[in-house]
Amino acid sequence: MKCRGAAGLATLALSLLAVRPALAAEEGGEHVGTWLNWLFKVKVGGHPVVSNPAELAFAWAVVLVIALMAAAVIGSRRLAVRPGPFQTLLETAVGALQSVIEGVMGPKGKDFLPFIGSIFIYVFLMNLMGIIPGFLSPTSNLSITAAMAVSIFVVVQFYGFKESGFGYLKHFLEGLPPVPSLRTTAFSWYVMQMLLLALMGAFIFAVHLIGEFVRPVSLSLRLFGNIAGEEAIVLTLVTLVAATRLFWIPVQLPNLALGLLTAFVQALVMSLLAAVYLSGAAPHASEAERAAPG
Amino acid sequence: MLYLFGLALGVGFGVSVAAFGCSLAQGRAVAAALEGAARQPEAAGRLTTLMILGLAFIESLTIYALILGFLLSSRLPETEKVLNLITGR
Repeated sequence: MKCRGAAGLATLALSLLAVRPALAAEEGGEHVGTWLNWLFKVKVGGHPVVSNPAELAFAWAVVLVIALMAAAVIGSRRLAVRPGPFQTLLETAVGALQSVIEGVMGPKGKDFLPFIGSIFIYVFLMNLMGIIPGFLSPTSNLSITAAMAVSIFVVVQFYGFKESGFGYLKHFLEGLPPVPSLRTTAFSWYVMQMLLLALMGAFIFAVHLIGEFVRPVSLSLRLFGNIAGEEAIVLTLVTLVAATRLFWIPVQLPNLALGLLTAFVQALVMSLLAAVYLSGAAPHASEAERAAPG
Repeated sequence: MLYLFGLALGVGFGVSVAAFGCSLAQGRAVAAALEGAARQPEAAGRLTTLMILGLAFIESLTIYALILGFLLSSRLPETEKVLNLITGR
């Protein structure tokens, strides 16, 4: 009985928190109202800090980074063998991430735990920020998701070239039949087969190369579309309710609950895909890992 | 006038058709994962991870259609202007 009362109060409180952004949404048209909107008016060196609504996402990203750094500093002070609650939480999160990454990549996943773990925590918290009324997820801006996708792409290519040198380019020729040996085939037959292999090889190389470059595009668009779409739905619903002045009806609540699930799933998908691409760029990959789709 | 008609129809049907195909494909993926988990309950955890990964791939195609819908719907004119156009101002 105590739980139900508390849940009802929490819903009411949350919907009241949405009043100020809802008013801003109504007066500004389709423009999102957040607690950092005063940055539109602050001028540094003659220019406003934020000049268009898309740039608000960067301001919120700065807020998140500062909060994460504070949490990291506080969490790693006085590390004890018998940990307190905050340290237990952090250790559980890191342990779960490590088991998931090693499930995908095998034992060499441990080297990539910092990179992929950071991507997961960063994306998850950024997605979650949009659900709180008055906050804005940085991932609703395509530049921020594209930055992460490009960094994953660069790390994968760098890892591939570092591990196999120029043999990494053999990854782009998968599916090509083996080269015939001069000892067992007639010379004219050999020349014709080499010509056909060169033609097919060029085609297969082009297809794999395009697939490789499409990966950051699909990574960034997937995350951006999910989060920006969810924000658009919530904004539309809040604008509808704000027009009737009945602010205390939390019409956007089911979408916010779905947003919690989407936040977690999209963060998981981004980090899992980073792990899969990395394991695909490794040398002597097995058949199952080589078939990583784009 | 026909252009605006076509644009509005495109915006309306774009995500709907994409969602239709996406739902069929995701249904098949989830059915396969559930069948596998029913056969081997101890593999359910690993199957869930793979299923979520597969679902995200399928869903991203519908997200591309949604982004196209955003782009196109920003080109649609206001209803006032269209009504003025129809009634000849």
